[in-house]
Amino acid sequence: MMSPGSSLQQLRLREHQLFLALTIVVGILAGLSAVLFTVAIDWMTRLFFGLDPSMMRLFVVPVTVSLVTGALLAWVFPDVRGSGVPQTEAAYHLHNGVIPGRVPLGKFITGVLCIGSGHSMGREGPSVQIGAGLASLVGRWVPLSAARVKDLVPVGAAGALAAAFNTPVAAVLFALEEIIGDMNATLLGSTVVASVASVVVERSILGNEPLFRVPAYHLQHPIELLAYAALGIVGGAVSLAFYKSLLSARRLFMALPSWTRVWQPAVGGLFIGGLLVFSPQVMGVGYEYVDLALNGGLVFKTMMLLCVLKLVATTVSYSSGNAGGIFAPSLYIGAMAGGAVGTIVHRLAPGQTADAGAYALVGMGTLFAGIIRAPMTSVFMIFEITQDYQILVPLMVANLLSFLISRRFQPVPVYHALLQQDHVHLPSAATRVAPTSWTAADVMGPDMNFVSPDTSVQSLWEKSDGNGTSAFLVGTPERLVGLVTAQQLAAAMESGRCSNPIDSLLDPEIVHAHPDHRSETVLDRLAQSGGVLPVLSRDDAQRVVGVVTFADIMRFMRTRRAANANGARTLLEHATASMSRASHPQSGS
Amino acid sequence: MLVILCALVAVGFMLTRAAAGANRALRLRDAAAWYETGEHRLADGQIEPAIRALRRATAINRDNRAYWLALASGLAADHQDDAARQVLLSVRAASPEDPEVNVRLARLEARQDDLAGAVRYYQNAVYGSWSGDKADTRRQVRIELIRYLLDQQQRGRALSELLVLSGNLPDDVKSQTEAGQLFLEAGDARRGLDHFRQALQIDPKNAAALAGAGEAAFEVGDYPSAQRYLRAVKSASSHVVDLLAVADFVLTRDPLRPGLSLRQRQERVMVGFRRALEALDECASKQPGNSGALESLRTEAGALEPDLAFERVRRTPETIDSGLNLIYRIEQRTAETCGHGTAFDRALLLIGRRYETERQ
Repeated sequence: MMSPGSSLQQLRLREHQLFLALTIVVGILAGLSAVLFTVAIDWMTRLFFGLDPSMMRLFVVPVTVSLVTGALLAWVFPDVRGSGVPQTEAAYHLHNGVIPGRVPLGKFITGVLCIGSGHSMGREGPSVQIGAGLASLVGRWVPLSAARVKDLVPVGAAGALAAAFNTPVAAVLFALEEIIGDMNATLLGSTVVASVASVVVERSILGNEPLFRVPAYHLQHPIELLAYAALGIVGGAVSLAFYKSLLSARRLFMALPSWTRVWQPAVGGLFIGGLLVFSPQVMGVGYEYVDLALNGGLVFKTMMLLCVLKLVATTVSYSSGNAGGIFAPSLYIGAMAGGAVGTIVHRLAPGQTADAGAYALVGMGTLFAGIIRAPMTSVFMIFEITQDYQILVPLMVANLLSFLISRRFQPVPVYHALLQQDHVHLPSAATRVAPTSWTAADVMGPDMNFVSPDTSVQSLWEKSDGNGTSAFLVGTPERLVGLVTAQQLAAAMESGRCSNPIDSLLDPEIVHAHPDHRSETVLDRLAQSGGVLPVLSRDDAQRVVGVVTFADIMRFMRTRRAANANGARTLLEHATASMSRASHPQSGS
Repeated sequence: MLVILCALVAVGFMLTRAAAGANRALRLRDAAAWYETGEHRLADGQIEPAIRALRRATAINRDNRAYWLALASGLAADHQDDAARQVLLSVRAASPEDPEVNVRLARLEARQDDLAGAVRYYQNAVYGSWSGDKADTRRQVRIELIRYLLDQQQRGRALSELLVLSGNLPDDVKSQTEAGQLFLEAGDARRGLDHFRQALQIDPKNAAALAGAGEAAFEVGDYPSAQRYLRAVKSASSHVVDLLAVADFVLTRDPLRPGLSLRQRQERVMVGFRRALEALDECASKQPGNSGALESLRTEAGALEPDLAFERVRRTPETIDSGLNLIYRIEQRTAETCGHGTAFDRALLLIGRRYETERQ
């Protein structure tokens, strides 16, 4: 008869084999979805704009379609706004890879409408979310274990990106670097399989045509690396400009009353319509203009203008809540900025430098490294596009500089910053990787005492004097407003602000922990908090799931010690029994 | 479950493939429409809209060579030579032996005075993979190369190409005449004359061949043939008339022509001498700044003139040589200083030059 252990092992083996098979299926599905998404955007663009659209059409289409997408995004598919990459990361890290079935469908429909109607957004981000969503659906439908469903999400994302951008290696790296956040992930093999399956499907349908025609690349002179370094600095600056404007504009839109959300995409559409009348080149994904920049088809002034206009257009399209990504726009802006820098450099030293096209190419990677903050992906992506080894060194020089500048002035990567605006805090790499003795979830207590923000300093001071509490949570369990410490109250009393409400004392940055934070982080933050550390949900960083105090930690440590002692005793008894059985084999079980 | 999934994937693949195929057909149609618009605009001289349309065509359908070539034409017409070259080079990367692309590149390089580049692309075109019925086009490209080399004063290289051309010419008047003309321009009048004669064997009254043969014969110093061919040209150009006049003078005024008596020789020298002195005076009045050199020739002529009288010539016939030498030097000097004079002056120069050559 089979023992329970061996049957469990067999079950695991079967699931492992099933997972491998599903990796291929998901890769193909993701590839198909990416191809279909691209084709649908093409169709929609042709339907909306025809071959040679009039000015009126250029203006009216984005506004009108955005009214429809605004309604869809507000009432039917509220979780598919924006790129899709941050949402996929959140699904992977915070929701065990569970992505509701309506997400890929909604993303497909709204993405096609938004990008097809001229919004300056990319198709790669939505493709990633659609691919990941399909993977999650398949994993749950089969069904796989929760851990395996989670593992399928980056696999689907890699497959979709590989097909959408026709760069299988960069897609694998993107999944590891951006979605999983760990280059040593055990899912490397699965993402590679899915990526290959997806690209095979994509090429068998669309042919093996590269996304861009790339001119032959040559480093003309070693001193030209200085020019690429300059491009890296410019790229870093432009990345920062894009980053800041995107987040600022989005903050502005998010600060508007909630009833305006349904109209916000149309406001973006109105702006984009006006811009398209002036410059139709910023419409949609815009890869044909990237191709032109790569092949010397644009002059300096045009490239400068398009760089600025695309940045503005993408900022407005994205921040107004439309569905579409920033992957393609970052490449577009990079190509224009790179082309402009290249034109100047080539004019100054024609003999020692390559044509503007080469700089446009490196510029694409540079902006990607600066904005998306995935340096390995950016290098391999351009390398895959050019298939030219010579470009690697200039590319690495420019990308590294852009990456460093961007990171220096904006430490949080753009996708994470976008999630933080939605009050979603992804775990850091350090939190994810190392095992720990205990986490905030282990020690936090359920006793949470909240006070209203309009409570006066005087009344809270009296309360604190009575019960000896060192800090108070302000707000409600669903919406934490801040934290006020006894020292802050004392200082306010001394300065005569007794009748002031306590929200006047609140710090805008709430010291907090998340349930998966390790002991070191919890202790460090507890010390900063004044003795009461709120533990906030990662997917809604305003919701309090518990509180950690020194007393909670002491209680947890005592309990664990007792449990360890019990465990040791049990182990000793078990060992004694085993020895006894060994010395008296006939004496039953 | 897995089987159902695989079936779904297979259906999805078919549907996506069908959708992508339909989309591709639509895109190709769009590209063709843009191309047509671009060609019309180009023909109407609306270069910028033409370029925009052709760029759209090439962006949608990158595989159509005709679209790229049309775009390159538009860019070249707009004097965007670098962009045009970039386009042509990208087409050439796919098929380096494409003669049409190479010719266009050669023309661009020629326009930018890059002799080496132009010749390289012309030669690539000439030796490119021409299809069977394009032999005539290949010849035309070679002729274009020869003309370019001649324009660039590369006579030696032009002659090398001409010799190859000469061996592959069809036996028709037009081709033979064209080759003869090119040889003439390259300075090989003898080979040129051969081609003109071949043309005349086919069509003895062909005016271009007659004029060419006359000029070639004139260049090789066969003035009787030159006279014969040039006289046969109907509705002759001023150049032909001019050449004929010079040839007539050479034949009627050459003192060294075989069969002449000493008196006839002396008379011809005297006629030439007087004309040379007239030319000298005319030139001196036109260019007073150069009067020093001309004056010394005038003095020399004054000293020689009495010796050219028949009585003295009869005693010392070598004086004819001195007379001829002076005539030649005077005509050479006046031609250098004041340009070529009358047909007679040029005839005297030719006679003198031949005499000097024979004497050396």
